[in-house]
Formats: sequence, C-alpha cells, structure tokens
Amino acid sequence: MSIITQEEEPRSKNFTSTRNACKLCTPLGACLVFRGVEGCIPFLHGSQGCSTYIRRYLISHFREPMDIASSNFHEESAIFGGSSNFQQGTLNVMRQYQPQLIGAATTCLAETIGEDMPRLLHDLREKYGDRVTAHRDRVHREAIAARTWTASTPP
Amino acid sequence: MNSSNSNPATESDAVPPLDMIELLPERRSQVVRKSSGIPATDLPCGKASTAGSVSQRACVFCGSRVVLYPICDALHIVHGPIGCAAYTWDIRGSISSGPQLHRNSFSTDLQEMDVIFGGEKKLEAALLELITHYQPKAAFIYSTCIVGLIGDDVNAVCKRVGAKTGIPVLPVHSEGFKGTKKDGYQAACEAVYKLVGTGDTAGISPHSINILGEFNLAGETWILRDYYKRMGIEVVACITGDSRIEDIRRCHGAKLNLVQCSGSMTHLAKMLERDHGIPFKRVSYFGIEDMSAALYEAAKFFSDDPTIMFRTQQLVREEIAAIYPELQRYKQKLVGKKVAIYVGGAFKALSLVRVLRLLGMETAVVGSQTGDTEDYRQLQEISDPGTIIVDDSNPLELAKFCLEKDVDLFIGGVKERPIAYKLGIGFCDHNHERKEPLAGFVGMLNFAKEVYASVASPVWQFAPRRANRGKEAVRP
Repeated sequence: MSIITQEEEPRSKNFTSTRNACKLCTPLGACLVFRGVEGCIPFLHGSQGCSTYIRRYLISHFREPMDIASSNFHEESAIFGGSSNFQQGTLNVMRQYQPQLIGAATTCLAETIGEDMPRLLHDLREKYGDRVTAHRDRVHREAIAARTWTASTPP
Repeated sequence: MNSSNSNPATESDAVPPLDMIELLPERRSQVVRKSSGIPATDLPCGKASTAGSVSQRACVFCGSRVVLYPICDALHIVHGPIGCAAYTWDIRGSISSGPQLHRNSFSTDLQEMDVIFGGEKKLEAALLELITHYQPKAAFIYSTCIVGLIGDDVNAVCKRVGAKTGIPVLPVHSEGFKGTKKDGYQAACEAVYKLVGTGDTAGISPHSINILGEFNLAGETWILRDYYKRMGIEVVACITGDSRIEDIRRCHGAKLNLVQCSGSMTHLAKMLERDHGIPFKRVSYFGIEDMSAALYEAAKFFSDDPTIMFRTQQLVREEIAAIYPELQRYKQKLVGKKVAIYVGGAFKALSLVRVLRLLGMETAVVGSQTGDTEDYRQLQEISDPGTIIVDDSNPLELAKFCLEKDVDLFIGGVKERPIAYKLGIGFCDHNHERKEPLAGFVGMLNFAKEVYASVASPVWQFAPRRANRGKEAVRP
C-alpha cells in the first residue's frame, strides 16, 4: 500500500511526524472486540466520521457487513456535551437492531470535552436496564499498536 | 424505574425480518416514494445524520481529504490522532502520471500530552521535517476534531512554516464535528482557492477550460483530456485529478469551467466566477447522452471557432459507433432488470438513472449521501412511479428497500458491497475506490460490461433468496 517516493532517512533519527505508520486508533480495537460478541452493536460516542471510517476499514478487511453506530456529534454537542445524542443514538440502535448488548466506546472528541460516561450509562440503565457495556478508551493510546510493539520487541 | 418508559429492547426480543424493519421516526421525511401525478416533494436534506442511525456518511474531514487527495505533488499532513490519517491512507483510486507523494500517509499523531499542552510545536517540527525531506510544491494541513477543540492556531503555524520554506502551506479547516461532508468540500475549496491566481497565465489558448470535480479514478481524466485535445480545446487544470500545484496556480487563465462533481466543486467554480469572471457549467461524464452533452456544451461555448463543433460531432460519432454494437448485445441480456443506486452525490445518481435506462434497466431505489433539494427534485422528475428516493440512508434501510423491490443489482461503494452480496444481489462499484474507468464513451462500455458480468453471474442462483424466487419470501 505504501509508496516510498525517495530514499528513507537512516532509521536512527527521531521523527516528529509519522510516515505511513501501520498503527490504528483505539476505537477500532474496541469495535473489533464488541463485534465479536453475539448480538452486540458497537456504538461510538463522537463524530460520524469515526464510525464510518472504522466500518469502511473493517468491511474492506473482513468483506462482511459491519454496522457501527455513532452518536454523531455536531458543533453544539462538542460545546454543550453529547448526552442527548447518546440517549437518542442508543434508543435508535435498540429500535433498529434489537441488540442484546450495545458496546459504547468513547472517541477522542468525547474524551477531550470530558463526557461523563458513567453518568450517561447510569441514566441509560435507569431507563432500559442493564444492557449497555462501556469501554472507556484511554485517549490516544493505541491498544493495537501496543500489542504489535510488544510482539516485535525482542525479549 | 418509570413504568411508562417501555423498554424497546425487551418488548420483543425476536429480531424482525429485514424487510419488516420500520424506518426511524426521524428518518421518515428523508424517504419519498415517487407516485405519478403528484408534484415532487422537497426532501429535508443537508441536515445532520440522526444519532444511532448508522449513516453511510463520513465527516467533514473526510470531505476535505478526498477532494484534495489527488493533488499529487503536494504534501498532505493530518494534524490529529493517528486514526484520522490511517483510515484515509491511499483510499482513492486516483492515479498520478508523475509524483506519488499524495499516496503516503503523514500525520502528527497527537498523543495525550499534546492534547493537554497543545500540538502547535509538534506540527511545526513535523512540517519542517517533511518539507525538507520530500521537497513538495505545497503542503495541506488538515485539522481534525481534536485540533478544533484544543484550539491550536494552525493558521499561524502555516504562515511561519510557509515563510521559512518558501512554499504555500495551506490550512484546511476540516474539524469533523463542524457539519456534514459538504462543509468539508467547502473547506477544501477554500484552501485550494488560495493557490488560484498566483501563477502566470501567459500562453493559455483562447479556447481553454478547467475540469472541476474530476478525480482521475482509474485514469478517467486522461480519457477526458484526450477528448478535449481532439476537439481543439486546451485543458488548463483538472481539479483535482492528476493535478499539479503549478496547474492550479494558473487555472484562472481558462475561459470556462466544467464542473462534474457538483457537490464538491461548485463552491470553487462560484469563487472563480466571482473573482475572475469565468462562467461554469454543470456536466457529467457518465453515459453516452451526458458525455456527448458535456462535449457539445464546451463546443457551443467556443462558437467563434466553428471547426471545434465540427470536430466534436466527428468525435462523438466515431466514439459511439465504436461501442454501440457491443452495448446493444449487453442491453439484450439486461433489459427489465431492477437496480438500486446509493452513491455519494445525487448528480451522479441522476446520470446513473439515465445510463441504466439506456441499457433497458429500471431504477427501483435511488439515494445519495450528500444530494441537495434541487438534485432530489430532478431525481423525482426523471424516475419511474414507485421508485424509492432516499437521502442519507443506512444499511438496514437499504437492505429493506432492496428486498422490497427485489432488485437484481446494487450500485454503490465499498460500504454497500457486502450488503448486496449478503442479499444475493449483483453489485457494481461506482465509488472512488473503483479500478475501472467508467467515464467517457469507453467508460460506458466498461460499465455495461461490469453490470452484465455481475447481474448475469450464475452464482446468484445459489443464493437462498434467489433459489426461492417466486415462492414465499425468505430472510437471507
């Protein structure tokens, strides 16, 4: 996939930028795990792009349909918080998919504005019972990358 | 727990069959069924997707990234967490006749500490390092959600780096939460427009055009450039398929703009009209009718030279004669087959409806991610009664419509492909990842060939739904 246009610089140098990094972000790992559970629909709390990109990526990889819902943040949700989006989004997923489990994962947007996920989940449990699982991403820590790293480092 | 709040998850645990799924209340106004005698209704399009609806749309950043991606001698760097860069790495089928710099993925890979303390220093260091190494002609810096939130002054960094390196360093304000994909197109146009007017227009022919909104997927730009060359018209710049910064700088010297992907590039065309007085026309390069119309549009505009019109007529005649007999052969096999279309832009959908009609096929479902009210009005006018017209659909709805209309072919992008295959329906990729040129006259033939190969494939007889065709409906 990568096109190396010029001779790469010596490996010893420390780069600031990433160049063709084989590294993906945390919500993808979360979606992958949630999708492995029967009857589970992954739900990303953040912008529409996060879920669509991860869907595209996983669809191309597995060649299987991969539905990942999103709370679809707008500018207002980024400023005033996305709790109403979360409520409406989870309700719509329940209506459309009748899932046995909704796996909610945060994205960098939700974490940076400091969404109170425990409260959002608490509200949801109050309303619909214990069917929502949360995976609280630690912002920008790549679960998948961390694993590859460990694998590639000699003991 | 309040008893009046019924629990939709426990109410009935049985999953309903796909074709029985009900539309979400928020989505109902965005689905229209064409019925004869009733005037076209306006779809409330352009609004943000409903939360939890699993929209097929992407974000603002995606809009900017796909539009600017084919500029192949520029450096494209994503200022944000790694995901945004990784998912847009080399995702378009836009090919270049020269530099391949655009196919790389560069990112500042913002980490927790950068989010807290700001990413400006990191961006500046990354830019200087990459520009020194790759020597690009310009650099585009895409702002993502995080950058918009923490408030990095990207403009100031770009200015500083531009002064140090001597190349245009252009910020693209594409924060993902800012709006829909359309806002991303606009941000891209704004960024690219900063280059326009900075080049030398000497030596540009009085019969010259710009092709806007054409992305050189599978080499389509080269087909079109060849047509215009044969007509005697100079193409100054194709924005952005196989384009160079140098071409874009001097594109204001052209006399006419032809806008194909109207959703993404109308904004740029309007700015060029406002500041440089260049008129623009909306064209489409898909299908015999639209392709010929696009060529004649340019020939008519340059009526001061009658030889252009003469050459155009000759070109259209030759090209159609070359493909027509074979098209007729495919048409015989395809006549009466039903099609569902779900693509990015509604103008493309319009072209597809016409092309399918030429092949004798019926459009039963048609939808797009980013169409506007006018596009949907036109779609309602040209489609047959009973056609479902939908804005911003989702996988469940698409599957439901496909089953309801019992279609034979689905035309869409990479996210729709597995939906079609799971339902036992043929599929034709008409999105930006395709590897087959579908523009121009030769593209029409490629399209017919691809549609025929998929629809007439013997594999569908083994799909459970097809095996029971005509008997009672079964869930795939």
